[in-house]
Amino acid sequence: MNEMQNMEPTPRAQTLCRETILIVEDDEPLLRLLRFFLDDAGYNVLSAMNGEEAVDTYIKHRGEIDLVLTDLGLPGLTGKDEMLTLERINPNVRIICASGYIEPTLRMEMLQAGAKAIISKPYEPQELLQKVRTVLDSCT
Amino acid sequence: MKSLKSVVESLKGLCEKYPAVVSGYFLVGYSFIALIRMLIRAKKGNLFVEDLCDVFSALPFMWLLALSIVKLMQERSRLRQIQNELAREQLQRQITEIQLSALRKAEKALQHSINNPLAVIALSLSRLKRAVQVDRDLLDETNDIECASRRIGTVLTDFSRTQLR
Repeated sequence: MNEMQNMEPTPRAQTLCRETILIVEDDEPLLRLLRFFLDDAGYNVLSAMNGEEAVDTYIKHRGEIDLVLTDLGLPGLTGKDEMLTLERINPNVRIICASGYIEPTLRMEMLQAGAKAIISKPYEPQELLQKVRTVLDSCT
Repeated sequence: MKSLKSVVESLKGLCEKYPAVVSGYFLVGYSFIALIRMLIRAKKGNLFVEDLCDVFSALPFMWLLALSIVKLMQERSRLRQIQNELAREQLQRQITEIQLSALRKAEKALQHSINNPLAVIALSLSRLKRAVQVDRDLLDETNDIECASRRIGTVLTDFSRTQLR
């Protein structure tokens, strides 16, 4: 299992972090809040509202993006397809998948396909920050 | 042709419904024919005791045959009943499966539709809490909203766990 569980908050989560996170979310208010939230935590934030836009943004900022936080239920290119495309571009890409509803089989599939963590909505802000931090720290 | 077919069908139905009665008619019919034969011989004046045995000799076999038919018909009815029950159960299972599958789909859509706004509420509240930290009343209210939104999420998760799995 790649999924990070029972994560303790790391000291770095409390301080400013300068890693860049690409948020992919089709729900506009949620995207806006995630931007604010991760920006407040000190991350550089890029955003996209669908899979195609996410791939374009990733290609454009390839060297800068440290983590992709993507929703699974995206219009057009789904979260899974988007993840596989990003993995073809960069096999070491770090992806956290978020979803309002994820079946156990899909969860396993996503983890096997290379997702570093899965987070279920509605996520607690601290839970999200911890997961982001743990994935970023585990892969450096 | 059609009426003959319907007569045969109704006879079959009668045999299945009342096998004992049909077998009884069968036996009575045989006895009636044997009696007529006996009367004809008696009229001719050549009726002897051994002739009586001869006329009714097949009666025990006919009785056994009728009994077998009754048993056979009863068994057939029982099997048909079991078959019908099985078919009904299978149909019921299929209906339940279809209903459950529709409910699961609805639940999936509902989780998608509800969990996104709940995530928005959770993230907004965390920002709001920081902003209203000095006002105790407002902080309490934001805590209440947080509890309520968590309850919505829990209700939905519990429902899908207990009712649809």
